Amino acid sequence: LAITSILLIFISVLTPLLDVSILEIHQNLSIFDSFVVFLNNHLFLESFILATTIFIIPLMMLFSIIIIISFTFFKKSLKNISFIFKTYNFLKEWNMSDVYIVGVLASMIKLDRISLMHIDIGLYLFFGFLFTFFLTIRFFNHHDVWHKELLK
Amino acid sequence: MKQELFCDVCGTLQGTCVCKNCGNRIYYRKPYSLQKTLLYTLTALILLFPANFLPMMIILKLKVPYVNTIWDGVVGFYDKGEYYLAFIVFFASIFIPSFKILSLIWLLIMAKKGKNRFSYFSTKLYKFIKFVGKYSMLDIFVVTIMSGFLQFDNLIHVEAGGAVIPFALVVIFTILATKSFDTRLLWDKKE
Repeated sequence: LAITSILLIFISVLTPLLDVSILEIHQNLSIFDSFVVFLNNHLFLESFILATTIFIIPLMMLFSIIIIISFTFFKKSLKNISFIFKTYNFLKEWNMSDVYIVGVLASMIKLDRISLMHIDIGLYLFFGFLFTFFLTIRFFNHHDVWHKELLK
Repeated sequence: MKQELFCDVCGTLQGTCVCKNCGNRIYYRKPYSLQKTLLYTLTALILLFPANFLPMMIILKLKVPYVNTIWDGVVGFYDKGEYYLAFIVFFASIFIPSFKILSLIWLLIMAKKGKNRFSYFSTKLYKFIKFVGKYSMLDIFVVTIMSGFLQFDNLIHVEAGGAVIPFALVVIFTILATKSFDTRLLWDKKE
């Protein structure tokens, strides 16, 4: 699930979310493009917040899970990677990808009033990512991993 | 009686201040918890004013600017009959940040008083504000999406307003305040 989530987040960030058109002028935008729009407008802090909360943090959480699972799989001591547990524990509260999707839905209603709008493949992929991501977090119990380590 | 501490990283009980398993520092009470929470709460309270009074979004229709604050957004949705959306934006962008700041002030007062008849309620309130806190970012994300999509040069053009940064900082500081607050202080007996 974690690997699927990583693949989905990369694809969904690069593929267009929505297709908006006004008077036959089309515009489609991916999440990555919105970082670029902010950077081009010199809104660095906004771009940083967006990139961190919806892309970098979930990605770091998923990589942490993969590293922890691979360590338990190869029966290596978890004490060597305790900082990864700390990082995972810290990042949990800063992930906002679920809030972003609510934001997309609210924006769709706004955009629908002033333009012709179609949902693009990126939005479905992002929904897919959210689904697998939350399943991964739900199934992964980092406390349980430590308990198993201590029972050895 | 020897007190044991719960390590929130590895989930085991420890008798020392440094977890023997993961090396995480564990505290009987988070150091300077009340001071840090107060500092973050006051910062968020100060930033709440520019966040609400400065424009969140500037829409340029045929080069004519329309300035929107958060409240204008709520009223706009309400006037167009989109009550549920007006409610979501009001709840996420106005109610939650204000409620969180008020709740943090309440928690600080209760922690100062120690264990009392409101301790259980205050703990539940803490859990609630911890859960809903990040949903205030909704308006920031709406602005980022709108300003990304509506870039039709002279026809319609959306720009992020001056309230975006203060509003994002309000959310960040309230999350930091919640993280630095130690709920165990609500249950300490004071002389």
